[in-house]
Amino acid sequence: MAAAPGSASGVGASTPDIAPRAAASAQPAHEQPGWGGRGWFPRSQAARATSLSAAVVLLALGAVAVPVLGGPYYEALAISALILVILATGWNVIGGYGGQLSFGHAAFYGLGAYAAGWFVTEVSLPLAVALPCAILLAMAVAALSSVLVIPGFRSRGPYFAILTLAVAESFLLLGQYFLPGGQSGIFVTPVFGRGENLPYWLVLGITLAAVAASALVLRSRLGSGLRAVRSDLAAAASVGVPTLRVRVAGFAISAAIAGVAGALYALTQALVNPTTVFDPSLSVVPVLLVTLGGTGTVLGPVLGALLWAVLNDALSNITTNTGYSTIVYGGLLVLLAVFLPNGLLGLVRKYARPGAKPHRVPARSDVEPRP
Amino acid sequence: MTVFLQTLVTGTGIAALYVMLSIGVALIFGVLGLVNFAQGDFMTVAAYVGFTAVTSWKLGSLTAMVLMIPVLLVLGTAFFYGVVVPTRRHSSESQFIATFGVAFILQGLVQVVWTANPVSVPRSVGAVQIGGVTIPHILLIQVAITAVLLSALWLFLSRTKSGRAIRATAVDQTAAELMGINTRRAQLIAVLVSCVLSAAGGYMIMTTYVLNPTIGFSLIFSAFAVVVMAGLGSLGGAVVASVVLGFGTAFIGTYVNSSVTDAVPFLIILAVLVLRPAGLRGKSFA
Repeated sequence: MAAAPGSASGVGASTPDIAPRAAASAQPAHEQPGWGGRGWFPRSQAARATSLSAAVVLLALGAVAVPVLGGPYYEALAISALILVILATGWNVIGGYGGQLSFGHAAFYGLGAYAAGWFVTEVSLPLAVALPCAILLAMAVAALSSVLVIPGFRSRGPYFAILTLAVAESFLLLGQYFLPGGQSGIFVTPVFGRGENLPYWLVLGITLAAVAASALVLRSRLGSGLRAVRSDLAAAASVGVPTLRVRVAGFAISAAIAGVAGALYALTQALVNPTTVFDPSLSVVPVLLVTLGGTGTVLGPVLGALLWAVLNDALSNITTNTGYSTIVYGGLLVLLAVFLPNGLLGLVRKYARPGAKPHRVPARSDVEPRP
Repeated sequence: MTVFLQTLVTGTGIAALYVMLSIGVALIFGVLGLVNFAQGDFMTVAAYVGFTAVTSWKLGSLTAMVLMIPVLLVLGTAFFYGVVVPTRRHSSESQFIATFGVAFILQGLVQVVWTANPVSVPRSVGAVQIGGVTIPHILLIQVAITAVLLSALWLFLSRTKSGRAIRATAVDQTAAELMGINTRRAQLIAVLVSCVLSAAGGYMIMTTYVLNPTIGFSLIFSAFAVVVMAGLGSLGGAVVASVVLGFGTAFIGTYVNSSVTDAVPFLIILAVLVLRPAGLRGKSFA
């Protein structure tokens, strides 16, 4: 990628004298540095750093408290919440930064689960070797299989979303014919002892790594390219962003992170079943979580996934009729879409910076039905 | 030969249902620029209302369909003013999520009111026999309903002022507004038309399938396959593609393997988008 005018401010916060001007001129108002924007550390650096570190400290405290105070129930809950965080963070790389709506990340989650489950079951290695190998294999399988969506990049708007949906549904329906284990799936050899805290710490560590990776992607040249593609595909291409390569790379990274989420599911559960790991809701939920938290931000998916897990648990304690909880989810989604199109972080940002104009996520030009 | 003809009959029934669903999706996309994930769930609601009308109130199934229409019109109006209008300037993620939310709300409501247990209306068993091929009466009624509704829709879009307003809005909303067309009203009418089609689709689901709260949602994927084949927003293409998909599903079920039929719509989507990224007929409307 040649040094394009749009990416000249890629050095970000380290050169404060040019960054704000470049941001104001090269980016529309809604893309100005915010949480997770290119300038992670923003105009009022002190205020933002304070709130950011407060969030990090709270999360860290919560993370430590869970296995110490909670017992097995809350530990299992925390593990599934963290897996959701990873899945949402992965989705955010292509769906949030790049604006390419994927409704098919269940495919990569499921493939990751299959790869890791198959590896630890079939290959006997010491735990310290088997775990990284299983997770790397899951990442590789998920990233490679993302070539399936490349034809979709030639299509406009809703076709891409529909194509990714079709990829995931095909795995759901056909996985039982060509994946190991057939209809019943793989019975995964347990890798952790009963009552150990190790899986929790492992999942927590990988979650932090995934979030850090997504932050790095956002601040990298690839991240700038993805955001350029999101704002305006044609304009990005005209300033020299290799739009196809950027989208393919972004999708592969996104799929690999989703594959890690699936791998952790396989390693902490006893069974990898085609209907569970390719469940279409695994494609939809990350979209919701990211939108709930704040699309295209680093912390948005984390916030969204953790809130969702808490809400899920609370709802399941209140009523066992899934009809009511389905209504609550649906109602929340509608309210969210109508009143909070920028997610919770958008709300925070609006009140944290009184001078900032309340903004809306604009319709992207490549999805506009009437050009 | 008999098997072939019988499969043709089965395919006709599937095609009729797909036409009702995919025309609704294509119409809403064309006029509102919105991919409506809740369209199938409108049908679910219609089918369950019909189920209550038939089993509890002892009405005939066609009377039940007439009853479904006002219910869906109310639902459609609420959908338009409650969800479509407030999110019309939001990103397409927001709109996707809003219609997903509506789909979930409707599924939850159906589950709360009618429970998640599968139910079905008593089947009418009447059928015509022509040379070993069985044509159920209910299929003839479904085909007749489809023909009547499609003709009515065509007349409405081509001959009435509202129909012309809808077409103009689909072509270019801004230009239509500059010509003095009330595009908001045209969009509302498009939603209501698709609700009437959903009521007919609900009738078809009710009379042929065992009902469960997610039956419509699972059909929406077939509708997407149809609109991808047709080109989003193309109504004529949607009819042709529905027939292709209906017969395709039926023939694969008979001659290949009935357990892979569920995957047919998705394989079609993949194949079409790989070969023709803008759909088989590109982008045209009415």
